[in-house]
Amino acid sequence: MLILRQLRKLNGQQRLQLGVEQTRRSMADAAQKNASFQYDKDPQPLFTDAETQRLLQSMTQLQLEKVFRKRTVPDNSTETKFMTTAQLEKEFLQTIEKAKKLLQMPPVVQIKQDTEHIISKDPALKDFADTKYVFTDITFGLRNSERKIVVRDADGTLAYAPLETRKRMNQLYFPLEGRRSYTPRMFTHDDLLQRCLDEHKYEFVLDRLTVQYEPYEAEFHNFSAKVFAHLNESKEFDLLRSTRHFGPMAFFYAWHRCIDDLLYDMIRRDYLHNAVELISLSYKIHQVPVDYKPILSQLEALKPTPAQRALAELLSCLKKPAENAIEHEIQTAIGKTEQDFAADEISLKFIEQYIGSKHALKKVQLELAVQTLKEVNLEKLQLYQGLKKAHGVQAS
Amino acid sequence: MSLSPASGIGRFYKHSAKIIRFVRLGCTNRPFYHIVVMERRKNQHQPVIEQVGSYDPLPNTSNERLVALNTERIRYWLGKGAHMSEPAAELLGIAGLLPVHPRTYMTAWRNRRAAAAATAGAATETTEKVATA
Amino acid sequence: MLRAGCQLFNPSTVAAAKTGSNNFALEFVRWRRKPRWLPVAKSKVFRVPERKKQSEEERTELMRLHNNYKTQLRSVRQYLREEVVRQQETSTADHIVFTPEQEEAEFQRCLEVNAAWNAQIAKEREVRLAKEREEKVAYIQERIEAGKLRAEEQRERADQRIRHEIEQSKTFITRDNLDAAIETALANPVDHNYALDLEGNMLRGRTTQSLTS
Repeated sequence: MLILRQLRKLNGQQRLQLGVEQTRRSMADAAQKNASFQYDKDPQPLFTDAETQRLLQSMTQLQLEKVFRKRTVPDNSTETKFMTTAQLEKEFLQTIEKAKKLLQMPPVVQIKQDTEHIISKDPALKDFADTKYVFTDITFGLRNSERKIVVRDADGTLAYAPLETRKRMNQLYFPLEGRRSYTPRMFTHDDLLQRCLDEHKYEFVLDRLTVQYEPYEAEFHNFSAKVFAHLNESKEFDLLRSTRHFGPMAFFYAWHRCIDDLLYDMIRRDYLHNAVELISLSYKIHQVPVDYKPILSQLEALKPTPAQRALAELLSCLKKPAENAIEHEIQTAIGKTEQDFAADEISLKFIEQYIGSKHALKKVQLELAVQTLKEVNLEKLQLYQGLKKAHGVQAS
Repeated sequence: MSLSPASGIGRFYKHSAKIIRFVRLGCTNRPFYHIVVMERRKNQHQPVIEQVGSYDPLPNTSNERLVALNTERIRYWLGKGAHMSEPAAELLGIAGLLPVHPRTYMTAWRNRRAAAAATAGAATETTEKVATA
Repeated sequence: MLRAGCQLFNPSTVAAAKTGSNNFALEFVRWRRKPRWLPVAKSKVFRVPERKKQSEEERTELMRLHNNYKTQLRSVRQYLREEVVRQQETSTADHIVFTPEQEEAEFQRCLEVNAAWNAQIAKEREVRLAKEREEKVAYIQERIEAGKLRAEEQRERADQRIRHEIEQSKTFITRDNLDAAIETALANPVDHNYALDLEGNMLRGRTTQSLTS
């Protein structure tokens, strides 16, 4: 264990010496295989920052059918009820709240180091017993983190328990639902984990990881890094979209400067505002002197938040055909509104700026994707304007 | 025999002598103790006033003996003047909640002495063997 | 080491204790021993249990340790006792502490609330009682009306019957017109016999003249 840590430290130092360019290249292709990258400083303040959270939530999106999909749980039953319109609207609001709760991201924090804290040393107690004693305070109403757990060694030393013992005792006396007292074989056998990853069961692995480990544990970081690296190679980002793991994933890529694949995926799927948010997040993390805030605020004015969008989608089934029904129909047929076109224009400019800068790695691929999207968008815009003219709808 | 609940169903007089002690549960060759508060005059298998912890005297797979203590309630009952049985007092001393019990020290020095005697015996045996050879 | 505190019990007391004074066909073999009234076993008659020797230095050391322990425990107990008292004084876990003024104010507030409730309920009750009274008056009135109507109808029916009887009494056979009636009856004998032919015609009379003719 110690040797491993030393090696990791050495690796880190080497990486620092290699220089930014080389590091990034090694990150982008080869380094993702060994999956040994750690957060070099505490990522928590950046992650819990309100702006970052908003960006990550917006990137995650909120697709209701994905949030409330059938899960591998014993009870997937649904309830059917008769409701008035007012009740239904209230229920919709509650649904959105529930979805938001289900999408809460597991935090990204630093690995907690084990510190030895000795309470008393009594050499007269040496050999009083042949084993250690572990004492757990089971006083009612204490949180797991503030519970006192102490160990009396056989040589008479009384000390606070190490983190591993703490976790074991907490799980023993106050079991968490879903967490196993033994490590699941998935996390002990590399081939089993590899099989899960090869079958693209990323969400399953991450869910299990979140339940089994605390976010400050080294295993949590290692396994999630492994999963994200594998995901970056297989490029199945859509599997995690609209789940609670998308935010940490995007944050991970932004932190380790390998956002290009995710960016490509976002552009290909026409989530341009998400692409802009991803680029701004990476700028923010690495403190690149590009002013992204005005563009973000412009986009924010044009685009609804994921929650608003989901609510509107739910409410749309209640609405009666209004007077501007034709315009609405045109918009649904093309899938974009005038605001969307405006937002796309702004974001495309920003993305091209990014591709032109030295931060982008897969420039050709990204440029191609942007070009294709531009053409499609132009076609759509022409069609939109033509349809509008044909139906005699006034440009607002 | 059904177990009495941890919150306790034992009836007690206000001024009767209470004691913090072990109740042996588990089964043959597998002891397991509840640390309980009960009236001193009662037998260990009668209903308790309150359970304040548990003690597993057999080491687990990582060679630890596990003890759970509800320290808040133990402090309360000690403050109320509850007595302690000797094993319970020893355990609380080892936990660092109370001063270490003299018996623990005694066990420690006896164990040390026995170990020293054993090593000395082994040493003399080897020297004898060497001498004979 | 830690002792389990396992003592030997009489089987009877153990059984009673373990079942909670409910001797429900339970027999314990775990703490079985020879009954008190049996003599010492032959093999153990001349056994003298050996007392464990305690060295003098160990004894003095233990004495010192025990003295220390007792002193320390006494002070710890003192501290805990004070802690419990402090806890009881400051905690409002199972009761709420009030000054007398607050208590009085609380009582007054309760009284006011109670009076308000009473007033409200009295208002509701008055309305309800008035409504009930009205309903009762209306009901009784209705019953009286109905009774009157019924009596009227009854009298009407009786009158009609009397009138009918008087009408009928004109054709009654009395002692005065008995002979005349007999004579008319003899003079006009009535034959109720009749025959039917295949077409369904009714042929009245057999020997005498028929009713219709």
